[in-house]
Amino acid sequence: MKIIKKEDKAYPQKLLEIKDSPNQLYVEGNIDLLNNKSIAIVGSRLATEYGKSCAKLFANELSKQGFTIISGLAVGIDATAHIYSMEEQGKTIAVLGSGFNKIFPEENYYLYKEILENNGCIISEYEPNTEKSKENFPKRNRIISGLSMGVLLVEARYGSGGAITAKLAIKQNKDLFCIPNRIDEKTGYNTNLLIKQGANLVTTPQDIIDFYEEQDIQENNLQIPKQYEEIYNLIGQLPITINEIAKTTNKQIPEVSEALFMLEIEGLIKSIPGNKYIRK
Amino acid sequence: MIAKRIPSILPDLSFEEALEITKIHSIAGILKEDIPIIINRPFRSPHHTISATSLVGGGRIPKPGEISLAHYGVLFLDELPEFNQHTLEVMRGPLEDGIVTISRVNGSLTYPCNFMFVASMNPCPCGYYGSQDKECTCTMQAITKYMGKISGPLLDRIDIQIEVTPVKYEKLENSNKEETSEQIKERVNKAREIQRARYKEEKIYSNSSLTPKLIEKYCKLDSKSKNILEIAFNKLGLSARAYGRILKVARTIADLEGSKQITKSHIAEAIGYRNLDKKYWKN
Amino acid sequence: MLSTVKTMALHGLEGFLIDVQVDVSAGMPSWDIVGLPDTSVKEAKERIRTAIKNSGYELFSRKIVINLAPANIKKEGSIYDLPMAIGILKSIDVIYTKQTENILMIGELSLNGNLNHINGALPICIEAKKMGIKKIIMPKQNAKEASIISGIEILGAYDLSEVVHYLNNDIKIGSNHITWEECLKSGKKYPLDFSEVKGQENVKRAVEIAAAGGHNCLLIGSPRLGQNYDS
Repeated sequence: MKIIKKEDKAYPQKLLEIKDSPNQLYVEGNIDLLNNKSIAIVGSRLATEYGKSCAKLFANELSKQGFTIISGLAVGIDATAHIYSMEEQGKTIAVLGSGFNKIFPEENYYLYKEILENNGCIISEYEPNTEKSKENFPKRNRIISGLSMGVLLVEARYGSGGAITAKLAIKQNKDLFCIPNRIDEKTGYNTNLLIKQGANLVTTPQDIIDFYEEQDIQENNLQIPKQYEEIYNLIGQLPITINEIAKTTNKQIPEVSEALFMLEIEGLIKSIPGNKYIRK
Repeated sequence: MIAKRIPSILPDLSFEEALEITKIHSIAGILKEDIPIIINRPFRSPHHTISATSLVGGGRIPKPGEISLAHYGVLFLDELPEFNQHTLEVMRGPLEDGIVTISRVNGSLTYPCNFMFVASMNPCPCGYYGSQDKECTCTMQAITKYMGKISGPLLDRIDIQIEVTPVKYEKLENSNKEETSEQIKERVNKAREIQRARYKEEKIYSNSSLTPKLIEKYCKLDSKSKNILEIAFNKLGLSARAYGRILKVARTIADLEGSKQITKSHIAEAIGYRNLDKKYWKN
Repeated sequence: MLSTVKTMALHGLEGFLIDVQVDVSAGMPSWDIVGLPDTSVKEAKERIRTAIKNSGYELFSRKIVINLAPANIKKEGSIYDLPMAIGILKSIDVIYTKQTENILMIGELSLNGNLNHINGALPICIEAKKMGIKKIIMPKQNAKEASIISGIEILGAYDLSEVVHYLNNDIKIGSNHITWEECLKSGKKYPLDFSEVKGQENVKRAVEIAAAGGHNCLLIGSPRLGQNYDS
């Protein structure tokens, strides 16, 4: 077990950005995970089969696609998310609401062990001997959402822990994804409500992957090969034809079409009907 | 129209070619009296109501069809999906072989039909799919059906697919001087000479006639271009049959540049002329 | 009396040398054409009879048999009018020279004896040259298209009597030969030019590639729209 102080280099960057970030973290396992791109998967402890199968699907697929899955080591959705993200090595983080010596619930102790065996990571802001308490659990939720890029809420009743995490995520300016549920299902009340209020509705793991891929491209202008930069900069949200590009840049068609092709297979631009191009 | 101007940039006719064209036109009885011999490559553009017989040739006294009249020239089919499907299918074999054999009770006749096939079509029934100025009113189903009128095997024989987008008037006004056909033709002639020299022993004249075996021999790729091609196939979802077409076109692009080796950029441009393959026909 | 005139049948681009054998004899007036002629050849009877009459020759009622040899090749079209007419005139001694046998004749007759334009004159000349024929008589309208062939004398005749007079050595018919270079010079340039197409650089590039490699190509777009702009 290690202790990371707020001043330490190893302290996760993302946690520094949130309000009331913990002064110190107790960490066990793979510390490197803390700075990876990650998704929190949270939800009801009293999960339905539907909720569990959703959690399984998303945890499995997202971990395979390189996301680290963060959850709270509780039963229900949390446990499912941990278990199925462990099919990939080093892809899961559990955030405890108590000390390391007082794992709660006790039946998840085996999961705690397994996470460590699978190169995962366990963190807590409490001293090892801190007992569980009603206030601590909601508080650790800010770490779950704070550590992640976005929060996926699978099932949440009215006023449940998952709902709190979702609220925190919005406050922290994180992306919130919700899986829709039946309207007469109590466990789906909060997810449906959040969707109604504007959360991202997701039905497949690909939705989340696409969401971040698009952002990646918008943020990562550095990837553009130097020789194609001039042409790339011409292409925006408004469709533009190859002839217009050629004329503006004073380049020959072969050269432009090569550049467009390379940009397209890099996934930076998209060709649309009418021989036009737009930014992806 | 662009298609009608294609003959103006085709390589010059040799005397033997001209004679062969004139022979066919003479049999068909369409020679004009003031022209002793045809000196321009023919451009044939039959209407889409044409029958299979007049397209490939036939009749009680078998006459050469449009495909033979387009020998060494261009056969242009405007509004391709409007043509009778059967009519188009009949043309497939001759398009590949360069000759057409018409069987009659008294034996069979063979006419040559070595032509360049040029076709045009709308992107959809209403014609505005992908247009900036006007909304397309076709349903996705209607578009799929429209595209489906052209069979895969026929499409398979088309190397280059290109979208034509209308140019706006204000752009026409202030555009600079355009290249003349003469200038383009010069480059075309050069590229053809390179091909003729290369295929001296193969009994073919141009890259378009390369068989899969010959593609392997003459369109060798370096690892870089191979890599690009592979990525393109995976990312753009091109169909496997596009592979040979891309290599042939890339070969021609390299020839136009006078380059012996097909490079990455040639491949990239060639794939650009297959884009529609995935865009329209894949969904 | 029996006479023979040479002509040619065309199957596709392949030519077959045909002997038109004509026998005119006394007997019940009749006219038969044998040797696999199709209807269009059989119809020639009336054309030939009238054309001979209107050219000023008299065709008394006699028994006429015409054989188109070899008899196993199907003969179609109107190009046999002239050789058959010449064969008959030879048989009744209107034409009295021997030289007809080395001359190939093709042509359709009209009722007044004029020779009409026929299809396929050029391939016939080319095939005839291959077979060693030195002289061809054909309608004047066709003489020009055939004049590109060197090494064979092409005689363009205006009507039936001109041919008869020529064969009887009364007149000469001039033949002229045009060379390929002359054709190229006199021919018109292709009327359309790419400089008239504004913009569309990428399409132009694509057709340039297509032309260079002989590639088939498909232009997709609103062609009618495009036509307005770039034609």
